Amino acid sequence: MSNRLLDWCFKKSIWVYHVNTGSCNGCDIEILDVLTPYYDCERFGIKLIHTPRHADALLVTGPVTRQVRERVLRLHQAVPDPKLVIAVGSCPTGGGIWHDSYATCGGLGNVLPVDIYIPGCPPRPEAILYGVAQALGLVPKHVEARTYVEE
Amino acid sequence: MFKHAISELKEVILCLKAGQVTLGYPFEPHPPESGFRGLPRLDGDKCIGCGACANACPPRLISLDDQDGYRTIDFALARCTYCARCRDVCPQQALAMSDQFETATPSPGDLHITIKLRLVRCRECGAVVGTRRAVNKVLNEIPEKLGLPPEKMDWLDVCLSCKRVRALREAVLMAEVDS
Amino acid sequence: MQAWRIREPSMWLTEFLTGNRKTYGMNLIGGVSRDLPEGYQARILPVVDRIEKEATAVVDAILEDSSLKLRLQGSGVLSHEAAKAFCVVGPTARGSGLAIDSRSDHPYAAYGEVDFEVCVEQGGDNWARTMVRIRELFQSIKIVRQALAKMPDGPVRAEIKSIPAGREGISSVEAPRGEVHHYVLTGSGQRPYRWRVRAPTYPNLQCVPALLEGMTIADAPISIGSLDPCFSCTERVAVVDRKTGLSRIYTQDELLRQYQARFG
Repeated sequence: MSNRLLDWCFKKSIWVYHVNTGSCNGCDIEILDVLTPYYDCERFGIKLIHTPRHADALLVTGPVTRQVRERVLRLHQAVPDPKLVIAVGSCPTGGGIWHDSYATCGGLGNVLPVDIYIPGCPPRPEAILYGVAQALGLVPKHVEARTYVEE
Repeated sequence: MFKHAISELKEVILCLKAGQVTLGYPFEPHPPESGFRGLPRLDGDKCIGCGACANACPPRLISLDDQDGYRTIDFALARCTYCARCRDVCPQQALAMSDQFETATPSPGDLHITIKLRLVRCRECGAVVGTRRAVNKVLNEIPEKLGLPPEKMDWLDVCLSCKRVRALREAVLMAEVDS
Repeated sequence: MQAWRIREPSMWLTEFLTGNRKTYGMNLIGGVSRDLPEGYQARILPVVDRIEKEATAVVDAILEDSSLKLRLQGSGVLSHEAAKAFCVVGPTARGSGLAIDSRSDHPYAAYGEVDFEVCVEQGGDNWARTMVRIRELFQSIKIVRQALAKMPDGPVRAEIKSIPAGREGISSVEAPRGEVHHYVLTGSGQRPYRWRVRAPTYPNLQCVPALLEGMTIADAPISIGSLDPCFSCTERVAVVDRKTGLSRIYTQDELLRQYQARFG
């Protein structure tokens, strides 16, 4: 009963904690754009929070650099369950341009269990809203792998 | 004090004049401008498997693999930076940047495009010459412009090394005939 | 929030002009990768006019706001001599009276052909740096209008057949935070072998101890914020001894002790 109540509450308005693991700040500015009047995520109750201990979701940007890897793991532990890990941008999704660099871990999937990836360089604020909504189970997925074979 | 009050009044009027500007998204669609560089789309019928896109891609997400009778070109779009260099260099205009930006997914494997094209192997040594589509393109489009004689078309399914050997043999034969 | 609202139409405009709101993908060796789309003048001018009108209204409203002035004036003071000593760049330097701007000092691209003013304030405090940035917004609008009026026709890119390996290049460009230098060493396969950026935040952050000295903790975020630091552009401080060739990294305590020894 209390679990179902938690699940219902969780879908309503999540508080996100934003982590920059070495990104160029493009995705960070687009996340900030989602708070601005035109896209206004605060009408859904989603707000940026200053401490991971109050957060429901981690919004991670950037390819995870070696220096930040341990801190990201500690931040992930600090966020209480149930939690969501949302990777914003092409860098945490697949490593971006830095996928084979000696200084990065090649994407967030190699470091944390990720719930949803929002690719884009940087993703539009609408794409971030869509990604968060998909993480909450409100909208279906629109992409699938495509294969073409010549006969 | 007075100036501060006027300033605050101006700020209030500014905010009231601005009103509510929030877009209807996500309840209404908000399509991007034309020319928006969204998720790349490949037209499988046009691709000839030349690999120019693989050469131009900055994150090097396009990989070519020649196995048995097929060349497999895989686009690992998880790390795409949407720069559109692949679209710009494709000689067949097979790649286009769609306007799709709702590409969030729980697994990056969904962001893959794979195309398999038939290969032409060298008739003498079996090395890869190119894809059948690329060889056909050469057969159909280039000879008229170059004025190549039809008997040279026979050499199109021979690889570069074997072509050199053939050319040498022909040259030797011609020399013997002359002398 | 009003400033963010005013800014958004410029994002939509760049999406129309280049295909993306932020990563324009325009720079290519030899020029730009694509021409501006049809009808760009008709799109750019209304946006620029609107931004100018709304920004003027905002600036006019906040200029006499005493709560803003109390917060910004007198805090985070960087004197002219300290700015020179720390070699700060960009609005941080221009707020302390140093008239340095790569666009006018070593003009690149079309900056030599447009007229603009280097905005300098003498106060050196957070208010001065904010005013520099506000004035630069209006200078940018002036530059855009001049560039639109003078835009020539013609090819957008010079054809470069191949890039030889082993060549060096260095450039100095004015970014929003100051002078940024790029160094490239070309390698084989038409790709760079080494690339190094000296971002403007790197020297700007060196002045933070001088900025914060004597201030309260409450002033610290706004003082550091007034430098507009891009923390992605910072690295640790390494010192190389030229005689022995050895390098070492300074710890935080050592940096603090050095600063106290020098500035008391």
